[in-house]
Amino acid sequence: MKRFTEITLGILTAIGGFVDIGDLVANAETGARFRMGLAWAVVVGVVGIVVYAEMAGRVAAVSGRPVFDLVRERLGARVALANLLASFFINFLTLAAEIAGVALALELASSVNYLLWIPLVAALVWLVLWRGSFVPMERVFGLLGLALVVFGVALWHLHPEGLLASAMHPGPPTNESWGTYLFFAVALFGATMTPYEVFFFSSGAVEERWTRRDLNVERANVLIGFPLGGALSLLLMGTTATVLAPRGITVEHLSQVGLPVALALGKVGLAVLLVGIFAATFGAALETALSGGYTVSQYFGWQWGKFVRPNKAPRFHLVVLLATGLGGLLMLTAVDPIKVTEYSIVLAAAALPLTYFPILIVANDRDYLGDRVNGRVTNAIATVYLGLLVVVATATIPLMIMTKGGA
Amino acid sequence: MRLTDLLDADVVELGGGTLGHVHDVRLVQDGPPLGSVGATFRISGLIVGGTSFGARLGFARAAVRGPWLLKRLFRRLHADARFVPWSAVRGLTEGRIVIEARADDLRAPDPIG
Amino acid sequence: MAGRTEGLAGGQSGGRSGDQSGGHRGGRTIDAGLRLLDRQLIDVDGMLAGKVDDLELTMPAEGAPYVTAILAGPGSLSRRVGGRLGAKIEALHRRLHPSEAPGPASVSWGVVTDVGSSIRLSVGKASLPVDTLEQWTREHIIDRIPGSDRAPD
Repeated sequence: MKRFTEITLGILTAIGGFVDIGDLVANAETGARFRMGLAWAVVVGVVGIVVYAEMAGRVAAVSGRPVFDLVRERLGARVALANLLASFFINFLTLAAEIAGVALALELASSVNYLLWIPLVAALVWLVLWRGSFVPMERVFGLLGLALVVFGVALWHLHPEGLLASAMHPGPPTNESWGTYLFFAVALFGATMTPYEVFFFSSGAVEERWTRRDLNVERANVLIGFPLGGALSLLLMGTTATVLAPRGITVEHLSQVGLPVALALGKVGLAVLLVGIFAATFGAALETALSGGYTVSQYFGWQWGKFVRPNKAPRFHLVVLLATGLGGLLMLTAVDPIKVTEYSIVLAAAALPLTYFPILIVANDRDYLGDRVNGRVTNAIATVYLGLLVVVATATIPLMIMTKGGA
Repeated sequence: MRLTDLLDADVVELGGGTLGHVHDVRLVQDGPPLGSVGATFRISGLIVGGTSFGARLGFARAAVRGPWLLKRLFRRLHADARFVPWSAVRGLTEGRIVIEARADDLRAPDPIG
Repeated sequence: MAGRTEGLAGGQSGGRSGDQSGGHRGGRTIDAGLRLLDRQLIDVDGMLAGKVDDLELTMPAEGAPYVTAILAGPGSLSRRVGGRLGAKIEALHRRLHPSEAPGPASVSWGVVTDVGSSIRLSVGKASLPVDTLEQWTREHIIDRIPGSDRAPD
C-alpha cells in the first residue's frame, strides 16, 4: 500500500487531465454517439502523454527545471509569452469549469442549486492550495478519484455486447459525419495531452523533491497513472456506449453521465460515483489553479511552489488566489461549464506544439541530463507525436467551425 | 551595450554585401577577473547566418544529440551559419554590424557553447 | 591547418587558428543567447530570483567587449517582448522605481558562481534590485492573509 501511494502524482495528474468535468461529459457523449469507435483516440493520446510526461518529469527530477522554464529558455521571451497567454487562459477557463463541476456534483448529491455551491467551492479550493501541503493533497484526491473505477464495475454488470467490435472498426456510424467524427477524435486526443498535465506533473516532481535517484518512481508514476486515467475514461465511454447509444440518448449534462451507473448499481453505485466525480473535479481544480501559478511564475522567474512558505512565493500565491476567485465569479454568471471547456480547446491548439517541442529538445541535452538523455526509441516516438500535435493544432479550429463544435 | 543590441542585428560587409543576421554571440571566459567566478566572459565572435528560426534551440551544439530528424532539419536550415571573430567587426550601429571579412574566409562555428 | 583540426575537437587548439572557428583554449566557451539568456537565476539559498532578460557588456578601449552584468526584471523584459505589451511592462517598471530615469535592474556578473542549466549566484535575493515587486506583493497582500508564514510540512 505504501508503494502504491508513491504514484499518486501520476494518478492525480491523469485524473485531473482526462476525467475532469469537460472530459467526463465528452467521453460520455462519445460513447453515446460513436460507441467505442473513438477508443483509439484515447489510446493514442495516452501513449503520447506517457512519453512526454516521462521526459518532463525526468528533466525536472534531474535538473530541477520544470516545463515552462524550458519553454522560455528554448523559445525565447516573445514566443514563450504567446504560449503563456494561451496556456494561462486555458488553465483559467478549465479551472472555472472545474469549480462549477464540483458544484454540480454537490448539486446532484444535495439537490441544492449548483450556483449556491460555487462560492463555497472556490473558497475551499483556494484554502486547500493555501494551507494544504502538496503531497497529502495529491494523495487524498488522487486516491479518492479512483472511486471512478465504479464505471468499470457498472460496465461489468451491464453485460456489454459488441464493444470490442466497435472499438476495432473506427469510423462514424451511419447517422454521423466524418467531420464530426474527426472533430471528436481531435478533441479526445487533445484532452489527453492538455499542456497543464505536463506543467503540473513536472512542477509536482520538484514539489515532491525528486532527484535523479527517484527516476524509477517517476517512471512508475507515468506508466501507471496515465494508463489508469485512460482506462477510466474508456470504461466511462463503454457504459454510455452500452446504455445510451442503443436508445439514441445524447449527453449534455453531468447528470446523464451517471445514468448507466445508476441503472447497473443503483443508489450505492451512484453515491460512489459522486464521490469520484467530486474528487476528480476538485483535483482538476487544484491542478489547473496550480498550473496557472506555475506557468506565470516560471515564465517570469518568480519563486513558486508549495514547498516553501507562502510568503516566500508571494506572486505565485497571488496568481493562484486571483485565478480561483475570478474563476468562481465567472461561473456565477451561470454560463454553461461545458461550453467554457469547449472554448478552451481552441486555445489549446496554439499551446500544444509550443509546450511539447522544448521538452523534447531539452530531454536530449546532455548538459541537462548527462547520460539520462532520450534513447533512440523514445526520440522516434516523440518526434512522430510532435508531428501529430502540429497536425492536430492546425486542424482543431477549422474542424470546430466546420462541424459547429461537433453538433 | 546590451546583448540584445547584437542579437538579430543585420551583418553587412564593408563592401556592401549582406551576410545575414546575428544568431548568437559566442563568449569565451578569458577576460579580466571579476568577483567569484574568476575571469569574465568576453566576446570572441558572432554566429551569423540566414534564417534565425530555431537558431537558439541548441541543435548546433555537440551536447544535443537528437532527435535525429529534428537535428538534421535544423542543421540543414542553418548550414550557412558562419563564425565572425570580433576582430573583424568595424562598425556597430542600431541593429547593424559592419564587418571586414570575406565570406569565403569565414568558417562554420564549432559545435561547442 | 593542423590548428584547425585540433580546433574542431572541442576547442583545444592554441592561438590564432583557434579563433577562426570560435573554439579557444583560453577558457570555457558558451553561446550567450543559448546558455545565458532566459535562464533561471538562483540565489545562494536556492531561491529563485528571476530570469536573465538581457546582458550588459562593457566596451573597453582595446579588445573585445565583456559581460559585466545581468539585466533582469520588467525594465529589461520590456525590450524583449516589444510592441504595446512591452511598452506596458516598461510603464510598470517606471511606476515601481519613481526615480528620474530608472535603468533596468542589474545583477553584477561578479556574483555569478555557476553557469549550468541555471545561473547560480553568491548572494541572497533580498540584496538584489530584482526583488522589489516580490517584496511589495509580500507586504501588501500576502502577509495580510493568516498563515502566510506557515512552514510547509
